[in-house]
Amino acid sequence: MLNSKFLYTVIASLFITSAVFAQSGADISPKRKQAIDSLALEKVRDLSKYISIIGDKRTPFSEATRVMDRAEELFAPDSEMGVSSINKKEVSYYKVRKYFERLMALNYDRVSIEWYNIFYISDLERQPDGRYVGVVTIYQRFEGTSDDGLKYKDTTKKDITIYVERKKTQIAGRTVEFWDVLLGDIKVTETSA
Amino acid sequence: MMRTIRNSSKLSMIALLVLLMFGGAGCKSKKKAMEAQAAAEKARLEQEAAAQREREAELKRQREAEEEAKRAAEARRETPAQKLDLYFSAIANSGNVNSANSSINEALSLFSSPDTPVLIVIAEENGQKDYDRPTTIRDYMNYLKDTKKNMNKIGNIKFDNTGKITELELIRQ
Repeated sequence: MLNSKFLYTVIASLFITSAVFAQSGADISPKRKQAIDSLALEKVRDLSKYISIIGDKRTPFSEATRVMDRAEELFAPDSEMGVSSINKKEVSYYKVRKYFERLMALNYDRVSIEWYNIFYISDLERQPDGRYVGVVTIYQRFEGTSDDGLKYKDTTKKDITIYVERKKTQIAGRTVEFWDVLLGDIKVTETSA
Repeated sequence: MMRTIRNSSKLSMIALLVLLMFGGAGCKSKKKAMEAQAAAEKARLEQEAAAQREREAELKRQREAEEEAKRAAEARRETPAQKLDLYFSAIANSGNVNSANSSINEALSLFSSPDTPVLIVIAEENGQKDYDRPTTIRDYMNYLKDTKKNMNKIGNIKFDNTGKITELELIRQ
């Protein structure tokens, strides 16, 4: 009798513990995890659009500046972007804002930047500090042309570290919890013509 | 006697000539009359065709006016969610920045402020909602303009006393 009471207590405790963990986000269902995976990939696709707009010479300055602000918000503080060229071996790294400013000032008359084959090479995994970390790979096709016939093009493979964190904010006096996706450093892994 | 005969044959010739002349003139008059009749018929047909075209154009104008009135009535009946849906779709599918900005400014009139919070539900399970990072309506509409992606449907909408939107919830599809 005592043993069965003990067993019930243990089972009940396990249920309560698992419910608490589930609510705190420690253990999320596959459906919710999939939604977070998709959300993070969407942020990478958004960055791709922003980079394309910033680089496009037809974008008015005010729009490009606004888009730079939005693009910068996607990144964790102090994140860096790798920049490579088929004409040199070294990869240069710039703070993302600096990268966007350089991109906007590129000395071409027409610039086209396209990201494709965007996929996870390392799934989002929960870390001991509660954050989810993963790595997404993208391929970037860059093409710059000038009216005098100068043309440069390359294809770069880049790895983007993704951080997803549960945060809280106040909306109209109530607390709202949300998933904050932040992009980290973007490293160049391959460059080809 | 011979003179009389000669005179009468002259008279016959003259009469014949007069007859021929009158006969020829008669043919010409008949032809002219036929031509005039054909012209009058043509003019009548053209008038009828023009009148028909005018009647058809008038009917078309009436139909268009009725359709426009119907559309306007429907627009007046549209719920705020439907209005937002139309604005978001117009912004995301806009061909140029100016047109998108114009739609954004129009849509902002529905909100209490450009900083009205927008919450995006990315998943919902057992009543628990997972949200993306909250944004503002101005930033959200600029996002639609930049990315040309309108992938969220309208969820809950909160209003103030004047009917302006004070909070918008969107649902990721």
